[in-house]
Amino acid sequence: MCSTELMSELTDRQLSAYLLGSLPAADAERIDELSVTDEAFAERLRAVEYDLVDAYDQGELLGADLKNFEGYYLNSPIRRNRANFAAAFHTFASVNADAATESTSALVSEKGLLSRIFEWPTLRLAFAAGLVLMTALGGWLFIENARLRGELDTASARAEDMERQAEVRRAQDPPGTVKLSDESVELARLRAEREELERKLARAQARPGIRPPARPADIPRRQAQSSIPRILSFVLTPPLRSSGQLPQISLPEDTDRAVIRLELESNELHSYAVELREPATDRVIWNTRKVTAVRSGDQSSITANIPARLLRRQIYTLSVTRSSSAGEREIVGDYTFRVVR
Amino acid sequence: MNDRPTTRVKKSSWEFSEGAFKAFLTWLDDGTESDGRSYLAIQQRLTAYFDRKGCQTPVNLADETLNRVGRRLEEEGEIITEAPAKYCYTVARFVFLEYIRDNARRGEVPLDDVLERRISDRTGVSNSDEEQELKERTFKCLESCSENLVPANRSLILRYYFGVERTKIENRRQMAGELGITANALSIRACRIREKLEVCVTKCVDGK
Repeated sequence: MCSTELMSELTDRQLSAYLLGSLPAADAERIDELSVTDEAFAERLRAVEYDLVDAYDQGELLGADLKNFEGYYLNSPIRRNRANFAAAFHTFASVNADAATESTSALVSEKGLLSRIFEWPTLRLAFAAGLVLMTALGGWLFIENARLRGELDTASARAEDMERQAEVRRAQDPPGTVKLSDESVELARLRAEREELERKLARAQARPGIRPPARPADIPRRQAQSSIPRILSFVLTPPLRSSGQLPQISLPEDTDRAVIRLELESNELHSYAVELREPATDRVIWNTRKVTAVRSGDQSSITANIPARLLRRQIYTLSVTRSSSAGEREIVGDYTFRVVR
Repeated sequence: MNDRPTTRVKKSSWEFSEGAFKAFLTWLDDGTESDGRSYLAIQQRLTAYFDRKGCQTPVNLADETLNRVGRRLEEEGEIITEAPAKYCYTVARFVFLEYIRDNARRGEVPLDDVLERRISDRTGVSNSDEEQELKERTFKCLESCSENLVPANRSLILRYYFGVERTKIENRRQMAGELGITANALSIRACRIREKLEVCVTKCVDGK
């Protein structure tokens, strides 16, 4: 079999297995040879290697792959450097995300997406009709939204004002006095009114087309923004022994990643491992083996960057461990929280 | 571990003369004029091969392989039995087998023990200040090295590695469409730029 045929026959999964040292010797030998004799194959192998290193850095490797990556792949200074580079590169790419999206906009504009749409007469008419309809609907929804928001603000201000006045009177009354005045009734009415307005506003915002219709100049930018990962950040404080209410994190359905900063009790800047578990089954559904703590003021913390698709509406625990001087894993803390979607 | 000899195979005393090196480049180019790029490419591929085989000094073993090929070429005037890259691989396999045999003969620490020790070194308590400093240096080097890239390449690599999971996949698909190339070709293009960037950053971090 010639090398081109062999090259296309090999899947990326097989190449990953080769890089992780888990491919049978005979197959590995064929790849050894191709990796030296065929430049195109060597490039493909390198691309698969980058994807593998990226997957490790982003906590996407699990089970045997993770074990082999750490036990086999990382056993070389060259490859360790590659993994370190990947970590730095991802941070760099995130920091420069604006530049990336700017160029996305530029490229899409360059292609003249709108001008291509307008080459079709039917589409042109449909677009114009849609634009009129969207403008009318968007305008009405916009006004309705503003009206509800105004009413909500007024009701909230009145309720807060009354609450403040009631608080002052309570402080002036002798202890043990219980009063059910007209003010209390009014306060309860205002609270109910505020809750009702909040519900209406939420319903209005949930309606499709609440945003004003897109202007042509906005379209490329909007498209670029749709490819920006939606990342939500949360902070979990060190777990306490007293059983209080579970911290709750609310993830909208379109969230891509949940970045959870775990504040540590200790201020030592160790390297930690983090596992995300389902307490009901004790199953590990995500992990990361090497997270270095950072210090901000007196508080040290580590960050877990978890793919949001792994988090369903239930309770989870993030278990944090570190290596002791004897080389054993030492439990640092379990951060239990509830996910609401 | 650091005081061990760097290369386990018996190094040939032969070295490239200017004439031998020119002849070697001509043979390696196999009829094309690569201006030394073929030499660098095969050296890099051999280094990666020895590294994947778990050798401790992959760069030295790659050089040793190319030296042996060069000597044979000088002695015989030509090598026509195999294509240049294939012949280099054949010699590399012998170099690797020698490396294994010599290690076994010296009765050195079994490979598993070495691996285990390296793993514990890696996962043990690290010097975080040093690590932090390295991270900062790497980041600065990334900034300066990426500035040296052609703007189109800088933009391509930032976009290619932008996002995670489905966002990343969708982004790459869109990029390939815009550029009018296959996903595979795009991946190779991004890979080449990343490789350049990695080499530049590694040199910069080492202060070279």
